[in-house]
Amino acid sequence: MVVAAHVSRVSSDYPPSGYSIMRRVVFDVDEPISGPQDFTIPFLYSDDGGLWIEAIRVMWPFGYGANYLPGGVVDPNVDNQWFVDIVGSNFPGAAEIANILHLETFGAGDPGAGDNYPVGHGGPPFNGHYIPPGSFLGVRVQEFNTGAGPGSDLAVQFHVRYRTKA
Amino acid sequence: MSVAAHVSRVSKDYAPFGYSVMNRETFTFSWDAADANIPAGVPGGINFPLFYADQGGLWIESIEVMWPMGLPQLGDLRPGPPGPPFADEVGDQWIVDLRSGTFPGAGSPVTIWHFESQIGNVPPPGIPPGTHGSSPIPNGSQFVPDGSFLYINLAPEITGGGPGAGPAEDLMFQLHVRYRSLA
Repeated sequence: MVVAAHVSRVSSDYPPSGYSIMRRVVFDVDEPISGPQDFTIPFLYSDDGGLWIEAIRVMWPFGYGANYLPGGVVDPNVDNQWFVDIVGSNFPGAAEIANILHLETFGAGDPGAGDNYPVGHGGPPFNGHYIPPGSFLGVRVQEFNTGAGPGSDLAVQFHVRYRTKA
Repeated sequence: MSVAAHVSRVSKDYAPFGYSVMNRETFTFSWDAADANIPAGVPGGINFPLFYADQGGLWIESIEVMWPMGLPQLGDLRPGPPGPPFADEVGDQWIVDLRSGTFPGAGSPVTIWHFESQIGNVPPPGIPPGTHGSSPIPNGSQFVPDGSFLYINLAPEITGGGPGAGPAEDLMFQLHVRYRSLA
């Protein structure tokens, strides 16, 4: 049977999905300023064949730092920073089984409102794809206050495109 | 080749999808007027991206707008009938657009849905909780091209001189979006 071009993308290399379909999920991280913290929020549970992460796009709806809007507090101390990771985990707080994306606000320059970019194509490296059954896809947020005060507010979105069993 | 009934609905008119699948997304948007710290006069309002269209783009099939808690004329959003407006806040309003565009806030976006909480300076009778209805999608705006975002543009308009920096109304609504994308 002849199939359309995109169907041929449904490769058996995406184990064990076989014929699969594409889905999208968007996850918002919106964290007002506070003390040092480190937490993981799961946003997608992988079961019945697992998930294959095809693409992630990072979006800064309001920018960061001086560009943050609305209501953001600009922190003059640039030593304060956020680490944001997209991770695969058997359980939030347990050992990570995959670190898919690592993002740091420090040193990258302040993104402007609406800045967005794909992961793994000139942006942050794309470290993994497959989330096995029984695992969560989650976002880990860490704030490091190495300076004298709190860091800036954080608002970032992750647009995740993945494949799952049809 | 025989195909199931629903496959035959996958029209070639939904270019360039070819074989496509139907998806649903629900977006709940809420804004507490007490925290309405959107500065007045922000050019073009503020944009909230909903999702990113890639891999062939998206075809919006339907939009159902739902007001779970209704919308008061002015004041707090709470169950029950809308309260009376405050005289000095008449004129403040929310202007909400659902748009698609290559870059939120830039370029020439296409408006898919438009809502104003007031028309002119006349408060509406309010929207009862649970009100919902389908929103017609203008011809030519169903397709969200590859590389574009679907996003909400929020533009508070403050003309009534009320307290605070934003409209006096709370705002909460849902968009139930059904769309097609590449399989």
